[in-house]
Amino acid sequence: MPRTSTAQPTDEHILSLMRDVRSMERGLKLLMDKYQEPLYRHLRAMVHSHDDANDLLQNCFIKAYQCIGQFEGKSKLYTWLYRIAANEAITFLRGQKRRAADSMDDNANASICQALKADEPLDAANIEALLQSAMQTLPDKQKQVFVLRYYDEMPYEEMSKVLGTSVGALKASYHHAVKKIENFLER
Amino acid sequence: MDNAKEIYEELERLSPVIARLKVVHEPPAAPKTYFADMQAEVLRKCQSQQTVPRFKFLFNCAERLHLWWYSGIVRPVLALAALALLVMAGLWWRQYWEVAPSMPLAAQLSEEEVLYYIEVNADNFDTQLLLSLLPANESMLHLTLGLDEPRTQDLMDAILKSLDTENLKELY
Repeated sequence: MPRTSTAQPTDEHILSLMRDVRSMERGLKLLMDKYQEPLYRHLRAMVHSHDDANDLLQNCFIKAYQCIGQFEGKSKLYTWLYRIAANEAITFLRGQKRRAADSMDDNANASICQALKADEPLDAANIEALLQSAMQTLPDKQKQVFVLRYYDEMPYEEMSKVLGTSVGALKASYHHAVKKIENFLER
Repeated sequence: MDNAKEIYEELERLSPVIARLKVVHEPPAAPKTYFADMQAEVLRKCQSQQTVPRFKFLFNCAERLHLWWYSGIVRPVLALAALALLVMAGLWWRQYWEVAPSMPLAAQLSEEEVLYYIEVNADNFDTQLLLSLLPANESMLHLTLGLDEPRTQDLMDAILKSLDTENLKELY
């Protein structure tokens, strides 16, 4: 669920604005205000690079703007937006040929892994990079499941709607992903 | 958040190491002014692409007309259509009410047809009028009796033969 602190416009209000030609840009603005942070967090976790996440987030909102008429209201608006974002991310990852970890060298990974084993205080700044390195070992779909659960803290039921996969399959996929990352950290 | 707690407990069961990471893990944040810039960029792209949203309600005629109206296309089109309609109506009105040049009925008939008509309807004509219209040397009897000339001659002969001396005296 999106983490919202102040009073946010309801999804119905945003939709009604976006479905009116005269107010659709205002509706889009409200939509971005409400969902930009969780979607950015998701995309950033998926692609790691801020620039790539920025491109995907913009595409995501432009597609939402173009296709809002196709949103039938059967699911929640944020579920629909997550689905767009998830598709954008998967498409991007499939197009990305390089699969190697790109932000940390092996020495840095090794030092964090050593700290984990020794139960020493962890350097918070590097944990993200370490996780990103570990996630590079996951298949795209499994990585998506891990990001939705670990980063976005999404219930399995919502994940099922976003990814179109059964809850049971998602649980299995998440468990596998966690085990693979753990193996990566303990190697 | 219950959901977050539940997810953390699940993670702790699966992998205490990763759960330990999650406690101190801070996902990367966006740069300070990023979202404002991103919004401006998205709005600019939407406007520059002149993206037509694929709304279902666009298939509603009223909404479509509404959109066209505001797009500035429909007004000149409607004005042209109204003008064309007025011109067509004017042409039709003129054609409908225009009096066709009158043509005398007699002018459309051949001479034989006219004579036949006069013969058949001789009783309806004024004798003096007929006499004034026909050539002076033309025998008028067949017209006044409604018979053709040979039959009129035969009739005249029969009448003359049937007349006795007394009748002739009366006549002359």
